[in-house]
Order: sequence, then structure tokens, then C-alpha cells
Amino acid sequence: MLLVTPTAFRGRWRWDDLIDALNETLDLAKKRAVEPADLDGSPYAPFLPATVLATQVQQLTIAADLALNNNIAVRET
Amino acid sequence: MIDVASSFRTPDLAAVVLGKSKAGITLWNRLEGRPRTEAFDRALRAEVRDPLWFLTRQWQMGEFRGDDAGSPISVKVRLETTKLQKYQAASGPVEPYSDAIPLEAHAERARPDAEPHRIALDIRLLMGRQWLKMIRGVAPPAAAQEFLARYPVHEPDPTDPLDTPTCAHADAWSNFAAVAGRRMDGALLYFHLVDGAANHASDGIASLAGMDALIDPIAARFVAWFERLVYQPEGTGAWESDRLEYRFATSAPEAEGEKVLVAEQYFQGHLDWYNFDVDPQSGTLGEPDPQAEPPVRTTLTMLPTQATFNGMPNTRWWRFEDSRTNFGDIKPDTTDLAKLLLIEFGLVYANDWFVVPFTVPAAGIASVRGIAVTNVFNERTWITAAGAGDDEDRQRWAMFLLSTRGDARTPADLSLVIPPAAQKVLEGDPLEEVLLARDEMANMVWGIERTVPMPSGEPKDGREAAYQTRDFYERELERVLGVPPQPVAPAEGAKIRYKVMSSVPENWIPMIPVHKDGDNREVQLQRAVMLRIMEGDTNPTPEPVRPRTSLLREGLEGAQQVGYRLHEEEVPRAGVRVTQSFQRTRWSDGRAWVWLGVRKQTGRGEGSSGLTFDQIVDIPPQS
Repeated sequence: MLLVTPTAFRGRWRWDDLIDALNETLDLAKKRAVEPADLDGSPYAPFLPATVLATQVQQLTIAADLALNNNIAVRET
Repeated sequence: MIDVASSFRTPDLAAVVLGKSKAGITLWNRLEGRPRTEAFDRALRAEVRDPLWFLTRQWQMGEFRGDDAGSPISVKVRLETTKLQKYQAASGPVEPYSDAIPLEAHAERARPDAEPHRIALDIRLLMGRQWLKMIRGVAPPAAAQEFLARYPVHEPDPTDPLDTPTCAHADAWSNFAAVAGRRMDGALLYFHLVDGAANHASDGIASLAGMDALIDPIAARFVAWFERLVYQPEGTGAWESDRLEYRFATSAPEAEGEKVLVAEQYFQGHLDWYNFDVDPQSGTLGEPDPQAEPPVRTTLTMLPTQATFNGMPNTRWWRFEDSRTNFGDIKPDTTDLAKLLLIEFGLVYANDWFVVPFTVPAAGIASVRGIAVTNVFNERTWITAAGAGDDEDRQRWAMFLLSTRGDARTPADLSLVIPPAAQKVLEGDPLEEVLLARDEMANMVWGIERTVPMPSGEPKDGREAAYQTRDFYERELERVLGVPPQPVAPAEGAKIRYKVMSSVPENWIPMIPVHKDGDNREVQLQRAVMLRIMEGDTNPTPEPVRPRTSLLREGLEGAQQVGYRLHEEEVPRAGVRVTQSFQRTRWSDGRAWVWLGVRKQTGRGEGSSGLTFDQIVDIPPQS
């Protein structure tokens, strides 16, 4: 069941509030299904998803090198 | 083993940072989640995330798509049902038919007293016993002995050639010998009674003289009892021996004329809707009957219910299924079309069907004249049959619909036929079994009698019967000659011998190809004979070897012997296997029907008799 609250409490229900709430819910349902692959062509691609971690070539500070951690690359000693 | 942790540690970090001896280059990498995978296992678990995820999954499954459609709320159907009321066997006369008799029994019946087994010993003894039981209360005790003396069981005589089928087999002969002179042969009495109206049961029985008034009703009951024991045809019946199939027609009255259904090639042993075709040419079967029951019209007004079946998948994603039947677990082969169709129907079209029930009377034809459906928006729709269309259209097919005979482009027949066929038929062991097999090396067809009926009533393996018969003739020959028969001795010093023809077992009946009458291209199979050639016979008069099953003895009975021709296309490369057996069923009024019916099935492939001509045979050296 969908719980709808109006944007401003005017004391009565307005028909437009209901319609807009329904449309917004359906839009949100579609947005919930967005995958990173869908964003690749858009201008947000460099920023989203914002799960960025810093790493250093020479380990001088806190670093998280995901390639080394997951054994995709091996460090040359 | 690389110690990962140690390779990341910069030794003496404080000194390196202060002295800037190593470059500090910072990069960024990003961790991205990919919610797609190739296997469906995780997705099918239908894990729950947040409330919005419920809606997203519903949107992905198409549950938010709206149609301008309404559910059906009221259905009005007009139906017409009619019963089968006439029957015609092959090209015989048209008779009235009522569904008091199962149609299979009516079409398949054959006479048990057909040659050569005539009425077998077991039925004769049964009839004798029944007769004596029937007159026990009425007749004086001496009558039983007199009946026995007048209608005795035949004692087989080994010197009589007519008794050879009995005397060649020890078990049959011993059955006859055990009861000859001790039991009454009831079949002789039966034939005596039906021969003429003036024949009485008490003819020739001294102790029953003058008791005609008492005995005649009992005799009439006896005749009626035998005729009810095995259901027998009056005329020739529906069996076509040149096709090895049954052919018959039935009809049911319609508003104008009759609907004629023909069963042209019925041999499966069990009658069903697919054996019938609609005959568009003949408007009626025989004369129209003014007393025929007219078709019954019914109009139904109903609320249709949705069709559900076990294991029907729920069309919504967020519902629990009842896991009794799992359609998704069926693993069909790529060639299993029927399974694939069933899965598709069950999974994709499951909730699209509505049911309006109607009880169709058996032994009849039902047709839907029209359906009008009203939906919840008060819109009425006229429904036509899914199988409607041109009868000759190759793309059109519907289950349970009959095809129309002939090539004319008529509209397809849309009625449902429920033939009055027996549900559970008890079939005895085959009394006769013939295997027709093609022999490519000898370029002919052999009718191999695998089971032959004995005069004592039991079936016997054909090859064993053939060997025993041959043995019997060899012993006969030995008795006539006085010494065991010697084959002709080869010439002195001969190393090879010329053999004109090899032999085949006596239960192999040859069918040779002959031209059809008036045609020099088409071929039919005609029954031929092998001669019984006895080695060492000084005075040879070879007799023809006759078949012993009534299926192959077609034309040999009766005063005038005629040949037997079989259409060549009835014996395909795989051969055919024709069996005759007693069948029994209980019909809807509780009465049991017993009849003798024939069934044809696929054979066992090609055969080889070993029949060869003009052979050179080595003579083993005499030691």
C-alpha cells in the first residue's frame, strides 16, 4: 500500500496532490532500477557512483589499491 | 608465497617523508557495483530490499501496464446435440443403431463359428453343460444319457485327413479323447435347432417324447443364451479383408438432413473421435427416418470461471506459489515439441482462459452454434471457433475436430463427436496372430502365422504347430512305407548336388505380387501355396499347405473357393501384425458384451524365409 502525504497541509486533499504523488512513485520505481552501466554515456559518468578510493604508487600514506587487494595486479618488487 | 603486507610497507617511513626521497604520487580508483550476472539463481530468490524495490520489480515484470480490457461477466451459448441413430457396415444395409450396444462391439464382431476352428471344443462343452443344466429339473434322468448319445463330442480319427488338425497335436487330441463319449456337444444341438423351425430339441430323444410343450421354451432360451454369449453379426460385418481394416459409417440427424460420419480405416482396436471423418457428399445414410429423434437445442446463460490447473504459475511476481507442481522444472529435449508447447501454455497463457461447462450426452455429436460474451463494461463480443477456416488449409488444425473427407475446400467441421466407445476393454490372449512381413531377398510377402487356434480352443504357437503337423505327416509316411523314409541317394562319387528349392516352415504362407485386373503396372498381393514335399516319398502327390488362421483363410471356406487378394500398400516395410482375440467390456447399463475382434499393429520389420532356388549343395564325403 502506498502512503501519500501532501506537499503542504492545506486542511483538505487536492486531486493534483494524489496524481503527482502517484506519478512520482512510478518514476522513483524506474529510477530505483538504474545501473552504473546506464550512466556510462551521461556527463555524470566520471563522478557516479561516488565510491572513489585514493591510492599511492609508493605507499607513503593511507592507500587502498583495489587491483592489488583483489589480486588483479601484482606489485613488482 | 608473496607476503602482501610486507611489500606495502615502506621501511623507515618517517625518514622517507621528511627527506622526500620517494615521490608521493596519488591516484584514485573507484569501486563500481554491477547488478547483472549470467545465472538466474540469485535473481529467482526474489530477495527483498526496500519498499521501493517491490514497485521496481513489479514495473520490470510489466504489472503496471494497463489495457483497455474488461473481464467477461456473462456468457450466452447456443448448443445443439444429436445422437447417432444409424449404422452401416462396409457396403451392407443401413440399420438403426442405438447406444445400448458399444459401437466397437457392433463394428468389430465376428462369428466364432467361422472356419476353420468352427466352434471350438471349449465352447461346445460349455454349451452341452448349459443345456443339460437347463433341462435338469424338467427332464427324466435318462434324457441326459440320450442327449450324450445323440450329440456326442467328435472322437478324432488319425487316419481321417479332416482330423489332422486335431491329431497332429498331442494336447488337442488328448482334450478330445478325454471328453469323447463322456460329454455332450452342445453346438450340434444348437445347429440342429436353428436349422429349421420344425426341429425340436426332443427329436430322437426317446424319454422326452411328448414333452415338447415343456422342452421347446427351454430350447428357445438355450438358443438365446448362446447368441448372447458372444455378440455375433447377422451379415458379413465391417471387416474388409483386402485391406485388413474395418470400414463402417454412422449418421446422426440434424436440422436438415443428417451428418454422416465414416470410419474408413479402423484397425486400432479402440474406437475414438479420430477414427471418424465427416462425409460431405451423402446428405443422409440410406433413407431419412421420420421417427428419428431430432437434435436438441440448448441455450446456456452462465458466469464464466477462470480456468485454473494444478501448478498454474501466479502471474504476479510478489506472490507465493503453491509448490505442488513445478512447471519450470520440466527439462524438455530440443525435439520434445509437445512438452515445449505444454510448458509455454502453462507459463505464458495460464490465466487467459475461461471455462463454461456443459455436459455432452455420450454417443452423439455436439456443436456450438454461437457464443456471445458480455464484459464488465457492458460490451458484447461474438466469439467464433479457434479452429474455424478452410478444411484444406494446411495451417489450420484444432484438437478434437474431425476432417472432412475429400479435397473440396469446404469450411471446417466444428462439431465434437463423442462416439459410444467402450472405456475399459478386457482383451484376451490372441486367438490368432499373423505377421505379414516383406521378404526383399525373395521379392515377396510372407504371412507368418505366429499363433494358430487349436480345435480344442486354445491358441498355439504357430511354429510349434507347423513342426508337429510336419512330424505327423512324416510318421504317416513311415507307416505307409513300412520303413523310415530315406532321401534319394546321390550318384556314386558325386561331390555336389543340385537342390531345386529349399523349404520353409509350414506356418509361412506366401503372398506373391500379381498385377491388378486390367492394369499392368499396379500390383496386389495374392495368397499362394507352398507344397508339402515329403522326402523319401516313393509315390509323391504333394498337397498344398493351407493356412490355419481365419485371417488368412479368406476365400477357402464355402462351396466355391476363391483366391485372396490383399492391397499391396497395406503391408509397409515394417510389416503388419494382425491379431484376433476375444474382447469384453461392461457397458453403461451394466450388461457385459463379449465379441471377437481384430486388431492391426505395426509389424516387426522385414523377414527372411531362407527360400532359395537352384542351389548347389556340397555332399559330405562318405566315410
